Amino acid sequence: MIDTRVKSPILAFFIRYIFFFITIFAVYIFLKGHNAPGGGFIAGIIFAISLVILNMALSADEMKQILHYDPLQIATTGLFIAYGTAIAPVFFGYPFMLHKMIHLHVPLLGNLHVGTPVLLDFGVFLVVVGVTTKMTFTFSHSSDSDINTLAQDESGLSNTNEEPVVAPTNEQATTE
Amino acid sequence: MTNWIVLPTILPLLLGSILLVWRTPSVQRRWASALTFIGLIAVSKCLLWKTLSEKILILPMGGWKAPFGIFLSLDTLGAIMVTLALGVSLAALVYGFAQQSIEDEHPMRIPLIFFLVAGINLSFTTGDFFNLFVAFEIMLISSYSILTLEIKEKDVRHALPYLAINLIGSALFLCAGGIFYALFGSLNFADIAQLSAGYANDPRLIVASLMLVLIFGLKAGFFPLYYWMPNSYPSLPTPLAAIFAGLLTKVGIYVIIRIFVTVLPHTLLAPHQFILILAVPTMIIGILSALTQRTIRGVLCFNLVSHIGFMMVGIGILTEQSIAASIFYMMHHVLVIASLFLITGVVYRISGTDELESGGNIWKKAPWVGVLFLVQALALTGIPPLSGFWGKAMILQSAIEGSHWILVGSIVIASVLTLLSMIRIWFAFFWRDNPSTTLNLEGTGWKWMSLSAFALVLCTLVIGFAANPYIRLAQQASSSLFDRDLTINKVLSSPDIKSQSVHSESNGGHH
Amino acid sequence: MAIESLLLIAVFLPLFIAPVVGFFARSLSLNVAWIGIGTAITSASLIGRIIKLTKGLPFVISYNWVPAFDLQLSFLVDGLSLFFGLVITCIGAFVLFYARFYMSLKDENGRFFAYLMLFMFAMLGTVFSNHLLLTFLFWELTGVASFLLIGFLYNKPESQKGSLMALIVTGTTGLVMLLGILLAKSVFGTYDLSLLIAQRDSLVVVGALPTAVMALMLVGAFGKSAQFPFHFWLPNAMAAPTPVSSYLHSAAMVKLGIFLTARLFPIFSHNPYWGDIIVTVGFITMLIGAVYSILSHDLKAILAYTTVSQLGFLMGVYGLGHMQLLEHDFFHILNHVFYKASLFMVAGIVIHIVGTKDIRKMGGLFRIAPFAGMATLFACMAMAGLPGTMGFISKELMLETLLHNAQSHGGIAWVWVGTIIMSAICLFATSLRFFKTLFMGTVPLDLKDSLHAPGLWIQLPPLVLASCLIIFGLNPELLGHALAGLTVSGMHAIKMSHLALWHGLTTPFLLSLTISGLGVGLYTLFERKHWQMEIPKQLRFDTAFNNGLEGLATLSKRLHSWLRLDQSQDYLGIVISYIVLMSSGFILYYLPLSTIRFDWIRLEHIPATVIGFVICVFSIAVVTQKKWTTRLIALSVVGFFISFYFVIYRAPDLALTQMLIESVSLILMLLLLSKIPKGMAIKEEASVYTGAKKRVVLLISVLSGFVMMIVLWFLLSDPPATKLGDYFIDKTNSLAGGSNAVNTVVVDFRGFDTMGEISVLVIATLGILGLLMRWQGPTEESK
Repeated sequence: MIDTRVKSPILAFFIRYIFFFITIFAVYIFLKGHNAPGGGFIAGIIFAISLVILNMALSADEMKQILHYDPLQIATTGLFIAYGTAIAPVFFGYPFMLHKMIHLHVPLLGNLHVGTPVLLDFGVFLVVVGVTTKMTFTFSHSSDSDINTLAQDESGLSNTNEEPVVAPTNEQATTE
Repeated sequence: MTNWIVLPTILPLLLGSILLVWRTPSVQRRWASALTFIGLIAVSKCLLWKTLSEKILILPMGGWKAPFGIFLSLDTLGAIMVTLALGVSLAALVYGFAQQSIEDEHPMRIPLIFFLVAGINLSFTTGDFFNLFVAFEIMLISSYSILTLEIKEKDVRHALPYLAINLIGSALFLCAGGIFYALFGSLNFADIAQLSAGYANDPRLIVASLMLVLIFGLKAGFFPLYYWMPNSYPSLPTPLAAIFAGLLTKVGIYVIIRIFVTVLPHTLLAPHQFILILAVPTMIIGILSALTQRTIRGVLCFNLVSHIGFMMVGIGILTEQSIAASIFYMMHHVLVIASLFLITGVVYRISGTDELESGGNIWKKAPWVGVLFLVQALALTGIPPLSGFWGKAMILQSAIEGSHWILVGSIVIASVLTLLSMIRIWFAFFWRDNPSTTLNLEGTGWKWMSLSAFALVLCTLVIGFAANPYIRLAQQASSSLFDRDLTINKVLSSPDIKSQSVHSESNGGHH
Repeated sequence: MAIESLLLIAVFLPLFIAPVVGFFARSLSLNVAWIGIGTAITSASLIGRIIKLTKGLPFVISYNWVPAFDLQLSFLVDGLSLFFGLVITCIGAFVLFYARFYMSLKDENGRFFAYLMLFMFAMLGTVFSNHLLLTFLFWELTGVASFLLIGFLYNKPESQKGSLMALIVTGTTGLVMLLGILLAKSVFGTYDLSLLIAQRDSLVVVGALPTAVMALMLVGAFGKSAQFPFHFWLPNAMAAPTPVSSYLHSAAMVKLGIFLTARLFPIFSHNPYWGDIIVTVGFITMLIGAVYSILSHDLKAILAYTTVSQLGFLMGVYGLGHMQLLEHDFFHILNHVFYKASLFMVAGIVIHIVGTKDIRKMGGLFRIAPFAGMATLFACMAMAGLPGTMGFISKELMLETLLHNAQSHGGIAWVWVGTIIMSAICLFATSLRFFKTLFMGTVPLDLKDSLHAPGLWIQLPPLVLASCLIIFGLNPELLGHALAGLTVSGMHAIKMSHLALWHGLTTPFLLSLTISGLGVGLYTLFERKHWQMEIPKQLRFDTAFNNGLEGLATLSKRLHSWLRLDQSQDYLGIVISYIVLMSSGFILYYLPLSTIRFDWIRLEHIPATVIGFVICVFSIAVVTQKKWTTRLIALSVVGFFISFYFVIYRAPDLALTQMLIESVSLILMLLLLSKIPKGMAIKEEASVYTGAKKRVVLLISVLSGFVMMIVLWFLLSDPPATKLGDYFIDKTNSLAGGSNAVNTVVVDFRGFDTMGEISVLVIATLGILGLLMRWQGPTEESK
């Protein structure tokens, strides 16, 4: 496996802090999305970029510890949230995908308008984060030798060292 | 509430996602997916039954009123297609179970089939131009993923042009959507249908509609656009090839019927003439190519392409009768082509090859496989009273009544050559003693495979021998397509549920 | 029992017996034939009972089958169908009896007898059907059943060849007939035969369309009855086991064309072309068949050609339009059925004895197979038209009427008289040869040891059939009496009144004598030349057919490669070219370029134009630059500049999204590029298009740019539609509960699209993972 981590320790140090700032920015963009430029998609990409940058500083194992979940599972969770939001109104006799707003008066924050659209947006957010990071990690952790086979027969990439998400028979390769 | 009509789309999506999490293949997983399909078929049967009395079922997504929100609308044609899609997919799925042991099953195969079916069903149920695009995207991406999933490494690059061509198709689709939006300011089919009535002579609409013929002709396999199909289908595993060949081309045909019969004005002559002009080479060149093929699948692929021409004739003539003919032919063709692919898989399993040169001996050793093949081959050719006959006779009748003699001649030539191409397979695999081919009839796998192919064969036999209700169904589907005002009124005058719900909510808040 | 149920049982019984026969073949072996014989006799006696009950009056039975397509299960019971029904079942019984002793144990007898029953059902269905579509349905079923029967010995190449030829020829002509039937529906408004026959006087059958209907349906009849130019399939169909030949190719299937012509006669005989077409085709066929029969040396081929000849004669009869002649059509048909079926059976026996099909290697078999010899004697006498047989009466009648016809019409009618005399001479010589070579003389030396006598039972059916020829030949009034009840709707009531053994010393009799004399002469002539002459290669239509098939294969191969359909690596470019060329064609043809307007262009478009220009420059760089990294950066620049458009048109969300997407894709691509070895990048350089291909690609690219430009130009000429946009902005706060309309559109107004698209994202990831991690599972087995 080749090491995609940045070589400079200073950069590696900074990247960890940049990660937090970008993450906070992503959350901000997500929350204000319904009323101002932003939203789940944009926030998702921003958060994914921050993870990708973090990935440059950390090894694959460290990344796995931080992320805790397989990115594909994160994306699938996003799908479930989105589908759930869409299906829920059916059980209340409304058309599929009808959104509801809840108007709350919270003591400190004032009038709060929260609605089911946020849930759908959150689903989008998770899907974008999951998908983007999954692709980046797969690319960055695939081994050099595989690419060489690509160069030889132009036929596609062979085994990778990814965890066996798709192909259970690749399990041996993971332990390299 | 007609929320039911979103079920054929959302349930496969949901189940596909669940199977992404439940990713280890197991018997329970297989049962769950098969049962989902059976349940969905039951739902679609109910929906079909309902469309017969209510003509069209509509569902405003999110309660938004037309033409602003997305509408799902399901009429008889859509319901027929949904039922067919689910039935063929179920047969292919079960066939796949029989073919592969659980250890050999690719964990992503079933989820992707579910996603593909969701895309197919959405394109049959949607009433919105852009949503149709989304349906096509789901279909394209999942079909591409399926295509690359299990093929050999050396074939991966054959899949790339498939993606590229379909992406170009998608880009043009978007472009055409842009034209429609610019012309009518709307994406809702019913709304466009109402607005477009006065545009029959607008050159922009003519050009846009001709481009639509190209875009969906690319999917359906019209003459100069079908190059990609025979090249990408043969490399697929059998059950997936059956789904692709049986259904994906028909989605193109369906959308052409949908758009040119219910959305665009019938007085728009250019696209219909264009379809008729393309129909002739589609039929003739397709079937001539079938004669050059060396594998069963190659022959079947080009037969598939050639018979698309028959449906094009029905669409191009554009009478209630001819559309009914195309619909019936489509019903027949989905089942017959899919089952022929499945039978080919059985032949491959027992003889280890699907090359015409190296096959043989099956008629002596496994006559039932031969019977299945022969029945379907004759159905494909249109020998009465098998299913192919009715559709073809109806199409011929429309062509004769419209005095389209060239088309009539082409249909006859294509039918004869279809017979010839199928007999070639028959001689090579069934009636030939080939000492160098030994049949492997051990195990029960191929028997179960034949059984699920037989299920489809049985369907075509029913459609053929008890054709009356199915012809009536096709006629009813066609007549409700032609009842444009009903659709337009029903969609455009649907209640504004969203604002009602918001108002009741705010009223509730005051009290 | 009512006539309805009698008829239904008679017709459908063989169909239900077919699987029974197939099922019991394992346990009963060859004796399963008795079930078939029982079925045939049952059907025959039921038909006989119907004749008694209806007293020959036409009778229609109808059930709905597919009313949506106007198809009824409708049967017409009249003289014609009853006559043919009787022939089919009776001869069927004889053939089954013969087959019981002919087939050997190692054949797949279950299948064989099941096919025969299926065939019998199809035949009965065809002759009884009252509905043109139903006729076609059974017609094609006879074709399929005969395909299976002809190809019964399927692993022999000639079986495959013969069955293919029969299927393609009868299938194609059948389809043409279907066209005629469908056209008949749109011209006459009904498929109902009895209705058409009943209305024949008021029906307009003159004119282009009715003539087309007639011609198309006659093509079907000609194909089935092996009429010129479709006659060639019949000799090739002789690859079938002999029982099949004696059933299908003498008594049953080939008579269908005759049957159809007889059916159509009352409807179309007023059409001026009816007679011309049928007489020309029929008599040419008659001559060709007769001449070819004497030039053939394969035992079954000789019989096949004599059949062709006789079929031509039977067909031609209907073209002469002579009622007097038509009164005896059943007599002619029966004559042929009897002698041809028995001759085929004899041929089967003989081939079995001597082990060769070449007639020149046979001789002196009378002692070994005396009954077959007797049968052959009778049958050949009938075929030659010698007095005392049905053949004699048939020929006398024919000659008499033709002479009469020629005397009154003159001209071309004399040609037909000449034709029939010539064919009669040839047939006479063939009959003489057939009997003499097979049964007279001495056994050839090389056969002497291998001969073994056939069983008694197998010789019985031909002998019985051939005896009929003599019995009815000597007592024609017997037959006349038997057929008297069979009235053919719209044609005639049979009166075999002046059927007599001896008409006196008339001109026809003198002609007959001449024919006999010349026949003997012809035989002697050929005998002296030791039968060396063959059918000229140029006139063999079956080779022409095979050449046609090969030519078709070559043509399709050429076309296939000329269209580059076999070039799997090129098809992307080909399809794109087609799309672009056709779209630009549409634009140039339909969009009046002269009406392009420029008035919508304003000063405020300048920034957008500048951005567009920059994008163009970088796009060109993407294509022309050599290094991957440069190209990639140029591509990203294009992407970033596109986001400026969103800025200009005040869509900050979209601008932000576009930029972020560009960033992520840039990162992903750089990641990928960092892994591609240098060598590969260089290799890619070399494969860039060169020469003519480059120019074509350039042209296609320019054209596609042109297409998009024109489309956009026309769209921009009108003010943009704002119906949806206005509504979204209007309702975003009140109904969707958010002030950012872009976001409310994404998650609420059109949230369903978003839901679909995020599914697409996940599926795409699956696809990419699938590509990156090749599945190592089974590939060979799973295909």
